[in-house]
Amino acid sequence: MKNLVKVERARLDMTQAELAKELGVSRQTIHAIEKDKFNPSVTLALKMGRLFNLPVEELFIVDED
Amino acid sequence: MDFQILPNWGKRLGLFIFFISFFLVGGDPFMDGFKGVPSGTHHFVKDFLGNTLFSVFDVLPLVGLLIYMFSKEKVEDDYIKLIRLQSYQFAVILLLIVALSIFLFNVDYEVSLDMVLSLFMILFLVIFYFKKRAHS
Repeated sequence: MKNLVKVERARLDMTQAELAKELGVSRQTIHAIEKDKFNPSVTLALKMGRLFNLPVEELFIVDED
Repeated sequence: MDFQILPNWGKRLGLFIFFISFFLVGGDPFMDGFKGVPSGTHHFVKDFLGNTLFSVFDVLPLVGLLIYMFSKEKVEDDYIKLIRLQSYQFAVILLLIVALSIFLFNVDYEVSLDMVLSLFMILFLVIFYFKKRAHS
């Protein structure tokens, strides 16, 4: 699964640490999500969508391959 | 089920207990090795503490590590739980490989329980540390 977290974070001019604090998770979690190493829980994905003002399915894109 | 039952300050407490007891208990064997004399020649700490208290201090490094292991991170989330679980799995597999290797090379080799427990806990903590660092 790919995601636009890094792009959206840059758009809001936030650091990984700031985003992590805003979402109540660790900075390692944000880094792992941005590197596609970890798929967030539904709750975290919804929180991200709300913060970036984007639907979750636009923020996280399922690879069809 | 969540085993991280202690708050984050438990990490500092665990490290404090581990290092104090480790240096107290390890002082005499270290001096034996340092001076190249037979094991048990130096017994300053044992005489100072007495047998009962020394036995208590003997298990305290393990207790310290256990407290450290059961303490929460500053931020506990799903990803931290995942890498903790992976670290437990990896530590168990490594421990089994080490145990099997020892068994294959020397069937009569005896290992004390505290060595096995220490090895498992240290393996887990090192793996967990590096897994966390990988995404820093």
